[in-house]
Formats: sequence, structure tokens, C-alpha cells
Amino acid sequence: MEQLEVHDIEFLTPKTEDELLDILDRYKEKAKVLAGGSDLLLLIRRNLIARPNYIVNIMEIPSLKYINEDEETVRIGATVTHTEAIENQIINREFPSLVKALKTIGSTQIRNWATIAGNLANASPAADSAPILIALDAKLKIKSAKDEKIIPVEELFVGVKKTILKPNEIIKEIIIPKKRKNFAADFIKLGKRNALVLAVVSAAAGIEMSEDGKIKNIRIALGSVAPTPLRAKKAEDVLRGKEPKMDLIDKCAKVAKEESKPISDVRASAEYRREMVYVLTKRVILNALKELGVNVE
Amino acid sequence: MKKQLLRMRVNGRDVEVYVRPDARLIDVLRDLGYLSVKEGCGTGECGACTVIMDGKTVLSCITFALQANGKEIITVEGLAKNGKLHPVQEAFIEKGAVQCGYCIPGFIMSTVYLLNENPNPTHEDILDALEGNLCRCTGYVKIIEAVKEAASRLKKEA
Amino acid sequence: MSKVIVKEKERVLNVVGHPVNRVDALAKVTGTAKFTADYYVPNMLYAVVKHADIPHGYIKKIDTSEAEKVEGVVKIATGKDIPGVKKVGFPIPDEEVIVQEKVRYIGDVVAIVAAETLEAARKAAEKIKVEYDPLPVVLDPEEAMKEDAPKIHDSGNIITHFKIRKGDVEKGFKEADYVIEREYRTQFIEHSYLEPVAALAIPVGDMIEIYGTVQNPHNARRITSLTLGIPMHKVRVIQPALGGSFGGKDDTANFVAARAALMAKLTGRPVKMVYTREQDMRESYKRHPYIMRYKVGFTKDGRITAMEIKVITNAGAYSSSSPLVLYRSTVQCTGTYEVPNIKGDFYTVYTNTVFSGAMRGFGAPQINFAVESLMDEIAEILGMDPVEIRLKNAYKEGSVTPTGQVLKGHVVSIRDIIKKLAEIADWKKKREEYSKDKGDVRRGIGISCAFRGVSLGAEGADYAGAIVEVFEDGHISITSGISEMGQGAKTVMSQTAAEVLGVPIEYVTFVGPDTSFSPDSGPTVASRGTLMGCGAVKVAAEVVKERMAKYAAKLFNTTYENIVFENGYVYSKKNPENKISFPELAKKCYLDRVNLSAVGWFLAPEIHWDPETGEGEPYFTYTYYADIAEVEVNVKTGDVKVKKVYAMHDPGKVVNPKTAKGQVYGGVAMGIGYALKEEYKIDGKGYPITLNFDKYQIVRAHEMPDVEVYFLENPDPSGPFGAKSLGEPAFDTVAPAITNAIAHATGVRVRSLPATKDKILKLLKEKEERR
Repeated sequence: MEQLEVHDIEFLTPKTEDELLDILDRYKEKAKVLAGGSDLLLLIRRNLIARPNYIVNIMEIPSLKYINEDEETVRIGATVTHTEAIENQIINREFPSLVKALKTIGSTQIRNWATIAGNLANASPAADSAPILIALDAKLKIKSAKDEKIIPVEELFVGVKKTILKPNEIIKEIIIPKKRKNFAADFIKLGKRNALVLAVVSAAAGIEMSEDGKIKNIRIALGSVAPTPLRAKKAEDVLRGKEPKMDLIDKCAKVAKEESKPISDVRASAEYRREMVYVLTKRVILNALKELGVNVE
Repeated sequence: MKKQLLRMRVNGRDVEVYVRPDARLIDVLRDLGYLSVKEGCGTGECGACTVIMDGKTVLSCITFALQANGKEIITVEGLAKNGKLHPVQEAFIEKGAVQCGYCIPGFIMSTVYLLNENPNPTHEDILDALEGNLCRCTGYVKIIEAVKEAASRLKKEA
Repeated sequence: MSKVIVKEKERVLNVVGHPVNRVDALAKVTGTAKFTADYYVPNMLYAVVKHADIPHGYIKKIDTSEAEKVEGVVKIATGKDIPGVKKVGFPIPDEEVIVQEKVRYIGDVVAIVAAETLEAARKAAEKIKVEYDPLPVVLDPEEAMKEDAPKIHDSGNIITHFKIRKGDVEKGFKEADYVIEREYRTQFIEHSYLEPVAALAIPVGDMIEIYGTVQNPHNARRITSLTLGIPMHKVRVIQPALGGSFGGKDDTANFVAARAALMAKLTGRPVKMVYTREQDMRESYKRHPYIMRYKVGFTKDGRITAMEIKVITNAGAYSSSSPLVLYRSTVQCTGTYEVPNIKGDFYTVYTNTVFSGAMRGFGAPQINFAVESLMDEIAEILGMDPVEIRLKNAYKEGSVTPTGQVLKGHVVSIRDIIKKLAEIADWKKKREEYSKDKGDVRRGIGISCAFRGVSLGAEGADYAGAIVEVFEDGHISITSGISEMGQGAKTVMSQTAAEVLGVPIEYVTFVGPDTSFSPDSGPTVASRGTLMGCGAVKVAAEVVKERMAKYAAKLFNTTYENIVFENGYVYSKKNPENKISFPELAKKCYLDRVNLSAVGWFLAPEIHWDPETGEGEPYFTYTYYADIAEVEVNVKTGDVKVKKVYAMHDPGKVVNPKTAKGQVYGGVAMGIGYALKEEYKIDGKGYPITLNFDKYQIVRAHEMPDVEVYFLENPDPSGPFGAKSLGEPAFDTVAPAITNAIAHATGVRVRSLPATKDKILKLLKEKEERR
């Protein structure tokens, strides 16, 4: 039910980044950043957060809306929506697995207005773009009025719906390193088409092969199986530096299963989720390897 | 709580209205008389509240009204021109896509958006486009037929 | 894709039987159709309810002092403010519009706030403090049946016990070569109509006018009249466009109407109450969860010799239509199969869960799930084909039902349907081909069939009324208490009037239902809308037609038997140049004081059933149907995709093929949800978990299979143009076709709905481990 305290609220629409960061610096916890809006209104309606005194709409700040590339990276601004990223040439060229993941989020209406950065900042255990971004080794530029820092995506999340973001900080941009050759990534969400269903389980893997046919580097990230998007480091260790053989991949997937800590809820039991971690981890690894043209025995 | 000025264009008509800062777009639109915008769930799950904002479909029940400041909104009321139904509306009637009708305005807006972006949608494209709209009566079959019919009508008109 | 297979030669119909466009589609696609929440009147107040904080307990004290301080609050009402009858409901009046002494589930309403704004009303409702003396909570019906269980109502927890005693089960089991026992369970289902319940009550002098999301306006009037203690003619209930119902907008919607009316009476101002989805899901009644235990004896050639059945349904906190739902389950307890020896005990039980009531199918879907699963299990044991086993036992003309009713007087088409549908679906070939699938994705095909007693049967008095009025310009207004909730009632009734009077359907407008001028026709339930509504309209239209025909006969100097009404014209058969347009004739009649308005009264044939002995003829006719479903199951994830559904129905006469197909498609969607994903969940303490569409998931467009619909028409002598029923048949045996297909694909059988990925995967793992 609605929480209706006698409470002052003001809706602010800053036009520049400086204005925005200044507002956040001034009002701190009393202000809440509003991007696409699919999350904030619901959080307030469901009493999941305290009613803010200031709702700060960041969507009218031109300097936050961009998808740029240079030699090494692609940078996605804070207010880029899922639809904008899905339709963007650069993203389709460089990160088809990201496009695949973004398409599974929400519905057309939600994708049209929800921002990728906003979805991350919301830090749902099912934040659907997190696993693939982690697998792609993406980073975030966090900005405040006085400060700026860059962190790997997986370090954003601290707990269920909790990030390291301080009240005066925003995610300014998402930085994704461009694919090296011999790199491929894949993402699967269980029941892919059940997009409005917060994922029952999702998995992403990014694999870089070395010249001698071994896995130079591998990143495995899982969604909805822990309080935060989970980087399955122990599972990665099974394959890192090794030849991609089927029994090893199977072992890797089993380790990922052990690493996951899912809960039972209305959508699925913990047991089922764990089993799906195994199934999906195996699948994304095999898919990525297939894309690389690697034959798995 | 001080009301704030909201300026937007709805169905081609300029609107200036003072709203609560935390007002939802759906409530403001309905207060302005655009009753085609329906609330089915209030959480963005059912899509009955779908309208088009700056050319893109949006869920008005989870959008703050002030987010629409300076923007252009189209609802079902803005589709028929000079008493002539929009081809999407005609198709929905012809194909028997309407039963109780509560979800229909939302489906119509999603369809208008789809066919605007993609005049030749495949069956899969249509399923993707309608994913955010729930219907309990029709089983969707005739709605999908109506979308295809509307696509062909729009092509004839063009 | 669909076909209408017309079996008999009939007179040419010009409107009925044709796929005319819905008469209310234009308003709906332009957004001008008004639903209850679309009504706003000046000086209106907003009302919000306060629901119970605990699922079971005595109300010690209600403190509204803080709530009253909220600015904008005009009136707060509690149970003591009800001037009239406190307990309402049918058949057992145990429901309360506002509970006074005791809360029995978390959705009970303990107070209502009316305020100048919605925000103020909500704020105030939250500030109402209620003190309770909690009572122990019982959520499981079998627990509630025990002697020492906490009593929900003083009358004891077992509401109704129906029996079937046919033949001699012990003898039947002795004759059997096999005897098996199985238990099946089904879940709470939420109607999930897209429009949440709402009402707007407007005082006009000593009258109350109510607009409400009420499936049965006359019942809303009854409840309001009782609650407010005012006579029925002072309560006017108007049903605007109704955003879906599926049986779910009776009790709860009537209470909302009565509550709005009460606040209107208390404040002297119009009061509007619109539920949020969460409030609606918390309070409104659900489909009964069932526990079904079947002990079946059968011979080695597949003939069923005996069934011993125990069914326990969870009625929840109030009885609502539980005894009536149980009644249908009882008299249809062996599905569409003839069983000579039956011992059946059927119980419906109070608990502290949300209360259960009417929902599309009304006690048949659960039984169909059990019986249709059982048939496949029997087939598996015998190594028989599921179609063969059904043909071995299915009803035919002269078969005797569990209540001793002999099926006659109508075409018992189930065998015909099973055979035809199996052929259309290429059953034999697919059954064999799919069993060979090896990989991760396995295909399966399953069949399920059912029959359904048409209309209310012994559930209530079965009648309907309609008024047909021809205006001076030849256009026609019709009305009936039978209501439109999306199924197309207004359209088929308009078609009926147009057909009888020989005019295009554009001449006809359906108005109402409005209790001030629409005849009470009982509830629009039991798939009786077309049968009873069109029946009544036909009677009324024929009366008016006869008067106009007699007038035309005078004009043309011939006898009235010679007069033909066709395509908007009226002419003499013998001398066709003696012709006049229908509007011209209407004008002449009008000017010559001919009575162009008539009330039609339509009664369903008499039936009788003795609840003591379980014997009788509970329905005057039956409809038959079957579904075949094809699925793909991923054995690694348990994910099920329904790829194809074939549905064949015998609704007697398809009055409108377009809307009829729409019903079947909608029924399939609902059936998939029932089979695979829908479940309204309550936690161990009695608090609901699934309160919106994020957690309670209904089928979306991309989950629909390809559906082929077939109608096999066997016109019934009782119905207008031979029509019987379709609304519930469209849904009530879809789920078992799917679960049977899953069993075929995977070799494992889910015996409790929904058949989630979780359950399927678990069963598959257990099967692996056993090997």
C-alpha cells in the first residue's frame, strides 16, 4: 500500500551534469535519481524505499546520452535506453551477446524508456544486463560532484538492491572493452521469452582463446542465483589456462552450480535454480566456443 | 506539497496543467479526459496503460507525469482522423480481436508503434512487440491476426 | 483455422450463424466504451477499504481516531454502520460486507474510509488500528475437517457433503482385473480479469444508483438492498462495459457495490471505490483447490468397472458458491465415461484461506484433470492407446451418468468427437513418432475430453427475460439481465433479434443490463448466456413479429402465415410485390398504436436432483468436446512449450463463429496457464504471496500454440436455434490434454497442477535415479 506521509516532494529536471551532481551533493539521501522510471515509482508505491523529497529526472541531460567508441572501448552513457542500445550499430557490431541479453529484459515499453545504467543501479538480484556485462569485462565510471572513479561492473553490487553508490553518486557511463579477436561471449536467460518474469536463472560467459588452443581467459557471471549478480570465479579457474574439453566444461558447470546460492521463491525452488546454473553455464560456454570455431571433445 | 507545471502535447493538443510532483502519467491523462488509458495492475506488468510518448510506447502507470514535460503523447483518442478509424482500429474490429475490451487500447498503441517502426513485421516480430500486453479473454490469436491485417491495410494506404 | 461442420439441414439463417462483427467493438477500439472506473461525477468521494491484518481472530477494538484526523476524510464506517442485514450470500448467507466480530481471512474488510481524495482515503485507511484476539489458523482443508480443528464458522467446518451411490463398488472391484489408487491435486487460481473490481454509487433522493463491475447486476442489487435495509426498487444497478469476469465478478464485486452504496448513503454524496490489483487479488474469491482421490477398477480390455472417489475442496473463509461447485463435480465425477459402480463422497470445507467461488468451469476442470489423467494412466498400464481407452468407456446414447440420468434427447457426440479429432490431429502417427524422440527436447501428444451439463441445472432457478422494442423508425432496442463480459452476449442476442425480425444486425442495439429495466435473468454463468439470453430475446422478438405480421397481413389483404420478414423487408409469400420495408411497417404500426414492445420469458426445461441419494437428472442436456495438445519438453530444464492444440466442440449451434472461436482461443490460453504456470499462493501463516501479475503469471502472446478449432453442431431441441454452451467447455479440459502430452513426452506424470518446470525436472531426476 502507499506510504503517504505529510511530506514535501519536488520533481527536479536538471539540464546539465553539473546541475545534477550539485543537486545530489546538496540533498544526498533526500534525493532519488530517476532515469527511465520503471523502477522508482514502483519502489515508492510498494514502500520498498522511503519517499524521497526530491525526484531528480536525469533524462533531459544531453551529455549523458551517447554511445561512443574509440580504438579500445565502447562507452554507453547513463541515459541510454535498452532500445537505443539494441538498435545501435556499434553495439550490434561489437557486442551481439549484449544485444541478445538486452532483448530479454522487460517488454518493448520498458526497453523504450528504461536505461541500462538505471537497471544496474537498481541492483535487483535479477539485474538482467549485469551477467553479460561482467562476462564482457565491462566497467562503470562512477561520478559525483567532486569525484570520479572506475570500477568493474561486478563490484557495483553489494547486496539485494544495494550498490556501492553513495547518495551523491551516479553511474556516468558503462565502459566495455572491444572484442579482441579470439573472444566470444554468450548469454542465456531461462525461459528467454518470459521477459517480464524477473529471470529464474541467467548465465553469461566471455571466453578468450590463446594461440595454442587453450582458454586464455574466461569470465562467467550468473544472475538470480545469489543476492547479487555472481561472478563464478571458482568455476572460471577450472577452465582458465586449460584446453576446452567436454569433461572439464562439465566440471566447470558443476563448480558454478556449487558456487551459486539461490533462494526458493514463488518462481522456482533453490534446487531447481542450482540445477539450471549447471545447465545454462554449460550451454553458454559451449555457445561461446562454437562461435569461436572451437571443437570440443 | 507544491504542484508543478506540466506542459505536454496530447493527441496534437497543447496541454498545461499543474500536477503533484509524484503524480503518475496515467492519472494525469485520465484526469484530462483520456479515459482509454486503463489501469490493469499499476505495476507495468499488464500493458493496459500503454501510450505513445515521443514516438515510443511507454507504460503510463509507472511513469511520473512530469517525465512527460515537453513531450508528445498519443492515446487511442488521437488515432481516428475526421471520424475515420485508424487502420489498426478497423483491423481489430474486423478480425474479432476485441472481447471485453479492457486491454484493447494498450494493444492498439503497441500495434501502432510496431507498424510505425516495422511496416512488415514477421510473426516473431509481432510476438516480441506484444509481449508487454496481457489479455485474459482472447488468447491473443485474433489480436495477432488483427496486427497482420492492420499491416496490410497500412501498406495499401501508403 | 477452423471449420463449422453443419450436420443438419436447416432453414437459411441470415444473421445467426454468421461471423458478424461484435456490436460493442467500435466503442472499445475508440476508447469510448465506459468501464466502471471511467465514470466521474461532481462532488464525488473516494472510498478505500481496510483489510484484515490477520487471517483469523476476533475483532476486539477498531480505533479510527488517527484516521479521522487525516485531512479530507469525510466518513469512516465499520460493521456497526450497516443498517440492514449483516450476513448475505447464496446458498449459505455467511458472508459479510464489513465484518463485525471476527476476521476469517486476510481479505476480510473491517472498515471503509470515504474521503475527498484518493490519497486521503488511502492514508486514513492505513491509520486505522485494529486490535484482535488471534485464533489458531487452519489452511489445509483436511486439517480443517478434523474434530479438534479451529472452527471458522459456528456451523462447523464441513460445509457440504454430497454422495453418489450407484451400483455396488465392492462387486465392481471384484470384477476388475486391476485396481489402482491415485491422488490428484489442483491449485488456487485467480480470475485475472484485466479490469479490477470497482463501483460508483450515487444517491438520488432515496434511490441509490450504482455503476459496478458486476457480472450479475440483479445480485448486486439484492446484496445492496439487504445490506442497506432498503427495498429493491430503490436500488438501481447499471452494468457498464465489463472488463472480463470469468465468474469472478459476483460476490466480491457485489460487496464493493454495497460498500460504495453504504458510504453514499452515510455521506449523502456519490462514492467511488476502485480496487488496486493487489486489493483485488487479496480479497476476491478464487477457483477452488481440489484434493481428489480415485480408486478405479478396470478389466484387462480397458473397461472401467468401479470407481471409489473422495474429493475435498477448499472453500476458504466463506462458502459462496462452494456447494454448487461441489454439486457439478459430484454429478460429473466420472468425466465423460460410463461407470456402472460408483461410491463417491464429495466435501467442501472452510479454512482461513481466501474464499473460493465461481470460476469458469465451476468444479469441472479439477475433475477433468483427475479423470483424464487417470484414463491415460490406465491406458499405460494396459499398453493401450489413450484414444482407444476413451472410446471403450465414453458415453453414448442411452448411457447412464453417476446420478442415474439416462443420456437421451440430444446427440451424445463424444465418441464422434474423439474419433474425428484424433484423425484430424494425426494422432496414431504422432503418438508413435514422438515416443522415439531422444535428445534434450522431446515431443508429446495428449488427448482429453469432457462433457458438461448445460446451464444451471439444480444450482438455481433457470430462467431468463428479455425486452424487445421496435421503434417508430424501424430500429430495435433489446435488453436482458444476461450480461456482457467480453464473451459476446450483446452480439449474439442482437443477432437473434435481427434474425427473427428479418433485419440487418445494424438495426439492433442492446441496452443495459440495468436493473431498472432489464428483466432479472439470473446470473450470467454456467455458459448459459447464449442459451438463455438468446432464448428470451427470441421469445420477445417473435411476439413483436407476430403483431407486425398481423398488421402487414391486413395491409396486404392476406393471412399472417404468408408474411415473410427478410433482409429488412416484409412481404407476402404469395404476392411478393406486396412488399414494405421494415422501417415503413414499423412506422405504420406505431402510428396505428400497435404494441411494438414485448417481454420474452424463457425457461430451461425442468430438472431434479436429490442431494441425499445423489440421484436424478441434474441437467436437461449436455455438451461434449475434446482437446488434443502437442508439447515440446526440454528434459534438461523441464520447460514445456505447447506447440499445437486441436479443439473440437459441440455447442449445439454456433450463433457467431467469430466470437465462438475467440472463446475457444481464450479458453486454450487459460488452460495453458492452469496446466503450467498459474498458482495463487498463500504462505504458511495465511498471508498471500502472489498479489500482482509479476508473481501470478498468466499466459502471454508468445506462449500460445497454433490452435485449430472445430465445431461439430448437433442442434439441441431446448436451445434457441439449437444452441447449447461454449464458454466453459472452451477451457475446462485443456489442461489435462497438456499434462497427458507431457507424460507422453517424458514418461513422467505430474499429478498436481500447475506442472511447473521445477516439478517436471524433479520427476525426471527421480526417474533417472530409479534406473
